[in-house]
Amino acid sequence: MRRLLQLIHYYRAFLLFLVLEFVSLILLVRFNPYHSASFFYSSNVLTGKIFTLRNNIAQYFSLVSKNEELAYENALLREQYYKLRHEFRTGTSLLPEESKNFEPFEFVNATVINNSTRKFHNFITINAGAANGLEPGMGVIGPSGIIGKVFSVSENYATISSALNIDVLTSAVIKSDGTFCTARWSGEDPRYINLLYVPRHISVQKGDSVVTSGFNPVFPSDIMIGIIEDVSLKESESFYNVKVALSTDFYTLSQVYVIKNPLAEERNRLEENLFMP
Amino acid sequence: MSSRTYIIQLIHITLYLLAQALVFNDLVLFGRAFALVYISFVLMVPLESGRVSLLLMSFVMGFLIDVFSDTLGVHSAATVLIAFLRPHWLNLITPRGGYENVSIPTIQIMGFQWFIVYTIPIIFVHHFALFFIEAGSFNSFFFIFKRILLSSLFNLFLIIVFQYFFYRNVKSI
Repeated sequence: MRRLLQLIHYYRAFLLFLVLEFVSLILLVRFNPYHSASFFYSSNVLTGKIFTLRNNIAQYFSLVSKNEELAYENALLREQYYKLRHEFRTGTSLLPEESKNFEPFEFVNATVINNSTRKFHNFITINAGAANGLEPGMGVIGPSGIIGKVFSVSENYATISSALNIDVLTSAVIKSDGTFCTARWSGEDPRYINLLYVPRHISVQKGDSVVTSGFNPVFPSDIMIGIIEDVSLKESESFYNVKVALSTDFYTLSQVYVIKNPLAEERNRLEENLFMP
Repeated sequence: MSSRTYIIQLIHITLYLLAQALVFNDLVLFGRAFALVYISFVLMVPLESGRVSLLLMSFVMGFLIDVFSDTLGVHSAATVLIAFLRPHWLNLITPRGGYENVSIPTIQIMGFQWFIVYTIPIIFVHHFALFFIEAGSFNSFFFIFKRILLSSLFNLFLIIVFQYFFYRNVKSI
């Protein structure tokens, strides 16, 4: 026994090294956000406060460009509003079938307080949390397209796994012909995302728009993802390599909208039942 | 190690954490070279501290960086690795006079050449572990390797700059 203790004491540094590496490994592998508190992520209270403080100082330097961006979005929305009002008055829109399919999405406005684009798993911290009704799994969009999904929330902050995260898959369609596919980031260039599972019998054109499919309750349909930049097809493969230029500039994120879908739970429950007889 | 030294190390951890999380995390050169200046903390832990406390302090440092950059486990693993290797590496490169009068192995006390020899392998090992753990695979090997090399050079430069700015007045014992 004494010898054993002596041995442990002699190798204590090495043993501690193994223990700490093991702890790191567990943190790396086991921390699934849906089961854990937000404490270990940047959405915790202390981190959130510190990032907010920095953002309060830093945002003064980009007020002009942010104003322009918001004004541009305002103009776009105003245009859509008048168009819809016109269609509504003339009776060309909101036919009975369409209004039945309507899902009542709600939007929560939030400001980005921390952002990264250069890692393989990029995350964004925003200043809205459980107090604003946010929950893990909700979709996040910006003025010009998709941003990501809510990953973990605390009372007043939330961490978003950005579309620039090799673990995030987004259900997408190519707008011109309705081909269903999946968007996933390759981890290398923050300006482009790849499309998986575009079958080779379809003709994919450079310049086609790619939008969200609306097949799951995270994003509404028709939210912009990007525009096809490059298409290639290897002789032996059954799927295209499609490179899409993201419509969102992830370097300069500032305002984002979190999408709340009050019917998400009902829809998830229904769709889960399909697989479990 | 006296409790005073521990408190000083704790202050160092806090300062490095704030510098890394608020400034250097956003500093990426050419989209390739990352500024990870917090490893300077591990390099500058006083020589009198034992291996166990060096490991524990480095784990705390790495873990806090992880929390602030949403990379749970990645920085801790890489930082603990270099903290484990540091005493062995120091033994291998013992200068002629030994470390008898050395409190902290700064560039002023140890000389430029020795400091470079001390720093480069530790930075490289740290970045190698960090970037491959973060990627989770060897899939984009050359892309990641380019990152490792460029980041190592960039951080070597930053750590030397830190030496002249913040570690000038460290006295030898």
